[in-house]
Amino acid sequence: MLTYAVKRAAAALVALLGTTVVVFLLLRIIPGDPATAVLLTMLDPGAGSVELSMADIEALQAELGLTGPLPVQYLEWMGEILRGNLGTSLRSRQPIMGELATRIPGTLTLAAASLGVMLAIAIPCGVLGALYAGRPTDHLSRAISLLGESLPNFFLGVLLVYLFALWLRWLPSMGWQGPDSIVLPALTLGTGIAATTARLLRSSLLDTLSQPFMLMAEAKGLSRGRLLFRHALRPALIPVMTASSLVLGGLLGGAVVVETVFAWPGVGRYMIEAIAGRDYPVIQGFTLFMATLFIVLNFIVDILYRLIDPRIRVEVRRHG
Amino acid sequence: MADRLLRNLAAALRRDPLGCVLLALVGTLVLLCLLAPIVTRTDPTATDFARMLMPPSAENWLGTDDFGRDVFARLLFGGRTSLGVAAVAVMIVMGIGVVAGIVAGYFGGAVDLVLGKLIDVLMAFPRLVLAIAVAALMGGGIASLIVAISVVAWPAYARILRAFTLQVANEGYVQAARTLGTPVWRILGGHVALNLIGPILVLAMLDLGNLILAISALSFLGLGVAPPGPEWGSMLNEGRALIEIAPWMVLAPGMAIFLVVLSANYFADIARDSTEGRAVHGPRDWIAPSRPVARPELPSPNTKEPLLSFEGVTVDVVDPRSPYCGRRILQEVSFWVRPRECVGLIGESGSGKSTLAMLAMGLTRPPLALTGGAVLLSGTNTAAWRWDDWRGVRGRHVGLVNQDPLSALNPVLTIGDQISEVMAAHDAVPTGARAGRLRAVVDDVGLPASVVGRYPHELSGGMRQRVVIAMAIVNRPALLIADEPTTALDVSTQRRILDLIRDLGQQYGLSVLFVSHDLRVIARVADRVVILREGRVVETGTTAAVFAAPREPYTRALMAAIPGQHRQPQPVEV
Amino acid sequence: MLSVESLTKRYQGQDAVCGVSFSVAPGEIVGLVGASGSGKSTIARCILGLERPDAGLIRYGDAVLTDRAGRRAAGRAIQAVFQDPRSSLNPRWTVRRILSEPLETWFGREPSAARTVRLHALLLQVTLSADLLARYPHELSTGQCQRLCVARALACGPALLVLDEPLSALDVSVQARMLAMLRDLHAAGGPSFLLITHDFAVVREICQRVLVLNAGRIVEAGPVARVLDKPSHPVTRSLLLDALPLPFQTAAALDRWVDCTKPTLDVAIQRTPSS
Repeated sequence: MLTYAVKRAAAALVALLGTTVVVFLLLRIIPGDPATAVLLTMLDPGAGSVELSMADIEALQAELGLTGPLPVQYLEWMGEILRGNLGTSLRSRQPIMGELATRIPGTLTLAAASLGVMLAIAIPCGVLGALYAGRPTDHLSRAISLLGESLPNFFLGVLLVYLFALWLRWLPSMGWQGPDSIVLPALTLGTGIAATTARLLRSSLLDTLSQPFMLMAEAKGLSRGRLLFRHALRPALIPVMTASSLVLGGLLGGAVVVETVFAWPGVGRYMIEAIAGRDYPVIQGFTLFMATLFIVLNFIVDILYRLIDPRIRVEVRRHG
Repeated sequence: MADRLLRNLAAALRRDPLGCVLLALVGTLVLLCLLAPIVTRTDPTATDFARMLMPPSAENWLGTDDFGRDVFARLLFGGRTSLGVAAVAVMIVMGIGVVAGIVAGYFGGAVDLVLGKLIDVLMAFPRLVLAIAVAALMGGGIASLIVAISVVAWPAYARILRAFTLQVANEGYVQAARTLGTPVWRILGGHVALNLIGPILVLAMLDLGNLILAISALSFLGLGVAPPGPEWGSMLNEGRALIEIAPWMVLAPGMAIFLVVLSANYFADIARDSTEGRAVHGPRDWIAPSRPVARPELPSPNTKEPLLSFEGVTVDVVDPRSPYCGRRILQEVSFWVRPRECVGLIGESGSGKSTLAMLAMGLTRPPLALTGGAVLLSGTNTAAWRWDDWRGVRGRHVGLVNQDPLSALNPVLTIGDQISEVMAAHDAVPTGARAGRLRAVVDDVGLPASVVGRYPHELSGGMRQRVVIAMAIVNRPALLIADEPTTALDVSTQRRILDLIRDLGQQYGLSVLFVSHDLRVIARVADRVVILREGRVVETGTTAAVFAAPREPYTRALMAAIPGQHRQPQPVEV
Repeated sequence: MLSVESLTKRYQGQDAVCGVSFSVAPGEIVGLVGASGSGKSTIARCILGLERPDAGLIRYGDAVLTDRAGRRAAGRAIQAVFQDPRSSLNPRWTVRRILSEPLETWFGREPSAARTVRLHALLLQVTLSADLLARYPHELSTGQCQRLCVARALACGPALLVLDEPLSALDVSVQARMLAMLRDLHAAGGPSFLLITHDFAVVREICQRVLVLNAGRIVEAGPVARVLDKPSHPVTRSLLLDALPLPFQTAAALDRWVDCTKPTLDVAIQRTPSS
């Protein structure tokens, strides 16, 4: 178990290093000079064509770390990151690390609540769907999954706000106004990813139920509860966990959208505000943070996976 | 393959009114979008401040927005952008994904390694987050939208297709083609690609909905089309602040996206179901609660009464959804198993021998049903038994050993757990005595005591079959059903397992119904034999009598077919 | 004709095949017997060029099969039939296309009528009906599929046919017909066979020479009559002992040595547990 954890942790570190390279290169391979683009955006659009001074451009290039050979740029950039410095926001002139830190709890709360909603919907839906395969219960649960998967979460969010906040006035619509503020955002984000999980769970449970070992378990005269919870559900969770990075990716990506819809004080909204101002360091910092969070969550799932499946070897999960 | 997919889709639609409605709706919408300049003469960007936020009317079918622009026109022209971007993105993503996946999968080596690393890194980001970052860095607009979506979406395809390709490349027919000396390009084109078209199409359909969602999410966030131009995601964003005054501004684009994504997902589901071909055997129907009719107690095997008897048993495929509906599996089969007797049931594949074994356990699966005759256990007719009645008998009075020991054990539970739970389920062994009984039964089947804490994958096939036998006999049942228990094992293991079953039969006083296609196996264990052919009993008798003087031509043919009776003429040794 | 010299193949550090040497002469039927996991199929895959050996040489005539050029030079001379006939046939191809594949590769295009005549002759060789040409594999029985595989291998006009457990997926009566067909094929001047099996009964039925494999090494080799009736190695003896006898006539030859080979047979075959 310990060797397994260490190996997975090493793999996660390598992935993390890879993501820093991608984030670093992205800014440098996009067409055009980033510094010029930033300066053009900062100018008043109404002012018409204005000559940008070469000195301004070079100053900003230096600030963004765009001068010198690429490997040196990368090492300097990485050095700053390892010291906990993600740079300075071009708009607010504040350190990005500090600005992110104040918003991280908001995003984590939303993600955790949405995961809760997801599990509360997905597990019953998937299990009932598989047990009553081909019957009304199954059709109902498949229909719910299909709807959940097809409703864009920004549309669902707007509809929920209209219904519960503006019309019925049961819940607050925007921002953080107390614990009940979390309900609508978490519902919006949770239902979308619940659909994927419920569908995965249904099909993997169906597969498990038609395995020969289930026939053997039934031939042993075991009770219904034991058949379902001890023999069927645990192996059925394995493929669901294998596909969990899909769900986690949907969770983190969806968080950005949902935070925008509900004006939720999290890193996603911080990012969207930065886009308009071409605040490149903020965009980079945000992307790195989300990738790190994603890798950490996947690492946790890997460890849980090992607890469920005694067969797993480190090599097995490479390349799906 | 592609035409089969279309045929399946068409067939599925004919049985599916909801699908037809959906197809009609989304078809109309797409057509309207394509023909937008003809359908509406209104300029989607023409502002008219006199007609701001007007509700739907004959003039403006879907109302107007806060600039007085016609929402219907914006919806249609916006659809051209949204769907066009999605179509281009799907093609780019599929193109890169398919080529990268097949190349990496078939050739392996350095290409595979480099592509694999690239895919790993790109997939270390949440998809939408990376897309937002790429689009944001590129500064928005349609081109950056397409690039952003393509960059994040291709790795998943490449990875799945690489796995598919590996799977196809290991298929027997590709190996055969390599042996035949078929050139690589023809193997890739004729074998690999041909067999990948189906999965590729299904994948494309499955992800089309996700791509459209991602595209509209990006433009909702302001990363798509520049403001005056219409696009569904950005229209929704413009409208959401005004939802109380002008809900049509949100509902029109929202429903359009929803409809398109819903149909993409719906038809992808149908396509996937038709290509994957769900197992014909659904899970057995054990979840519905049933009240026990009469919990049967089987008498101890001292009487001369048959323990298990089949009386004129007829089994048909009754499920009208099954393609074999109406086919007769067993036709008036009658024979019995007496206490302490081993009856060998011989038949080739398709003879219905396994169906008989399942009948004796009450485990017949849904498309099959008993349509005539009766199965009697200890003289009790089991016809009225419900699941709970059978549950009391299975594992307690009747044990099962089946063909494939590799799949008969639950992979995530320890051997000890799987044997002990049979005792716990039936209370045949007092709680205090269970640990001792576990040790004893493990020893009886010839396994070391240490296997108790192991998992199935740590044991060889022969050891796993011994575990299955231990599970079957731990409660000291009266009857053992052995369905091809040695077929999956090699000769040496096979002989040891056969001898084990024979010895345990004597030690435990078991009756055994032993099913096999191999006459040599039956001859070794059975006291009496029953020969089954296409659902009918051809011949029965004591083993000695049948093998010494087979009466029926079919029996004789079976015996003549046993290998080893002819000899190849030997060349003279030099 | 074919000679294998100290062939070695490792998987994950473990020897699957270790220093195996043997040869097959023209017109000969050689059986390769062993328990599962003894390396039979690995040897076949190395001969067929589907696997690259870690050490040793495989020669066919003057060509060395272990390098790619040599394999190409040997070309169509060595063909194979695998265990599972269903997966060996492309499910999306008709019988006609399946049989045409090797013809096209080795003899080029030819007029459709001439091709049909050739295909009919091939089908006849394996006792299949000529009107199967338009069918797909899933419309054939398992036995027919396996014969089709033999026909496809014969289409190249090989000098050696490697048969890897060709009977184990088939029913008893189908096995018998298949064996009879192979025997006829050989009698009519067909290629040499290297028959891989775990069943001594099949070896007795068709082979002239037999090699017994245990844990990746050949432990005994010789004419069938000698090896099966007077086995000299304990592994051969225990494999023979474990094989179930014919149910109605006890082979007199078996009886003679059973009594003197009782002790420690179980220890003789130590296989690595499959993981």
